[in-house]
Amino acid sequence: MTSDAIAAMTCDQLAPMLDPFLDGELDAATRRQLAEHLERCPRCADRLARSRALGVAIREQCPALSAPDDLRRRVQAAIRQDPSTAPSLSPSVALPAAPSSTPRAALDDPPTLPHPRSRQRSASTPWARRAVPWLAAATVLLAVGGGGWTLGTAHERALASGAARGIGADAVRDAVVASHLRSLEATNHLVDVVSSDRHTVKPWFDGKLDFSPTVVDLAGDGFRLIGGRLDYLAGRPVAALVYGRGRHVINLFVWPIDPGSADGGAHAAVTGTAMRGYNVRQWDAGGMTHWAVSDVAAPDLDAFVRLVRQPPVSPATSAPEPR
Amino acid sequence: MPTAFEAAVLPHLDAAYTLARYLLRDDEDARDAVQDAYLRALRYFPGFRGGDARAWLLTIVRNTCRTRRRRERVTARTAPFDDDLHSPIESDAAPLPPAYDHIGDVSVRDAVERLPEEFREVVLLREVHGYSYREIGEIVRVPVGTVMSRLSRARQRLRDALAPSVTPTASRDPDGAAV
Ligand SMILES: [Zn+2]
Repeated sequence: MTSDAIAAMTCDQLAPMLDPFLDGELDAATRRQLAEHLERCPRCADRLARSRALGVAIREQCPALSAPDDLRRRVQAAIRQDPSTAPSLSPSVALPAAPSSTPRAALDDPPTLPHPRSRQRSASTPWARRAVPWLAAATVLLAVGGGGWTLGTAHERALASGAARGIGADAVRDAVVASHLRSLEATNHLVDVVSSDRHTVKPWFDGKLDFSPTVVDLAGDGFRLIGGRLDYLAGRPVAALVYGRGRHVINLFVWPIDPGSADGGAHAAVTGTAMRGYNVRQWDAGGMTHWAVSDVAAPDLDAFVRLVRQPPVSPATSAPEPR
Repeated sequence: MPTAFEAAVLPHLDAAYTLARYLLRDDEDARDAVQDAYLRALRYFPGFRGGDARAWLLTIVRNTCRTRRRRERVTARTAPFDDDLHSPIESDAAPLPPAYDHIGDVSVRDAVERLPEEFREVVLLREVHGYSYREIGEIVRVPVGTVMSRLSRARQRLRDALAPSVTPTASRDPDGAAV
């Protein structure tokens, strides 16, 4: 933003920037110029005082609370009951039959902090790459404010409306099938790494994804590993593992379960559908959601899914690890 | 010896309870929701990729609360939340809820609790939990611009409802709706 931008704006145009100003959400230059305006404009200063007073009142009357001791005991008891296996959820959070998850291209992962289970994520992660333009967009958005909140890019608006409508599993399934089709149409895009060796395919994803997909060798059962591909589904980078059976291709998409999806995600049982002539299977396991798509016959795909879920050579198969 | 899950997630019980308590406005509901949320979190923990465990937990708490409210709502609002329907212009033009006539009696907390859920949660995450717009966007799963817009509209509603009690100079802006 140039130094003229703020100076040229009327008080009404500046008004939408007052809350972000108090929230510390403006970039330094904008913040400084707005502060200068506030020093010599009683009208805006009065508006700012109202905003500040509201914030103070909210924090006073809605203070952070301490969890009651009995709740603490309840929660501890509940999670210690059987921490090694997935506990059954209470009836009140029984998951609806139709799973739904929200596209989240603009909201990938939580911000990075060191964690015992995680490696520090590098600055080249999708999150870090997105955060900066996102904040820049916010500043631009504020700079053009005053004409109402015309939000971000068309893409962002589409995401917002999609989120509001609660795009569900059907949309994810559509995207999975579409990705399967794309991978077949462009032969050079079927795989990014060509290898029948899972010890080559699995490490290839290192540094490209924030999780490590399980790659199983099913050649002995008639499903040969063709390779792996980085794909983008449900608003996030995912692993696509490509298997072949005869002349048919099976795409197996894997990504971590989204804890923020509207109904919470986890569906351990395999659900199956057919769409546009392709068979689709979905299940969750080990914190990962899995989608298998292929034009192989349904019994073949079911056999494939059974093998992926219970690999024949379990000792050599590493489990998915959050990183 | 606490498990990795307990070490990462249990310290945020107060935050979880606070959010659930204000979102659900009922203590028993809040306790049940928090317990459910922790069981969900335990299930999802293998997929937790590190980062801010509190924000990760609050995402689950928030969704657990939404699921409960959706189920318990007798007269369910079937239409999804439409930000455009809650534009500043519309909310200014619409008559305030009756309780807002009794400005002296309405506490800020009452006013916050009467906000639509989509407004209330962003106000709580900002003012009570101290999250940035970007972090709120991650928890609520909307773009940062939508967070800004919702916060702005929510605060405008609160200011309209509470102006005399929270403002030294109670005069309403002459251009009112443009703020
Ligand atoms: Zn001014």
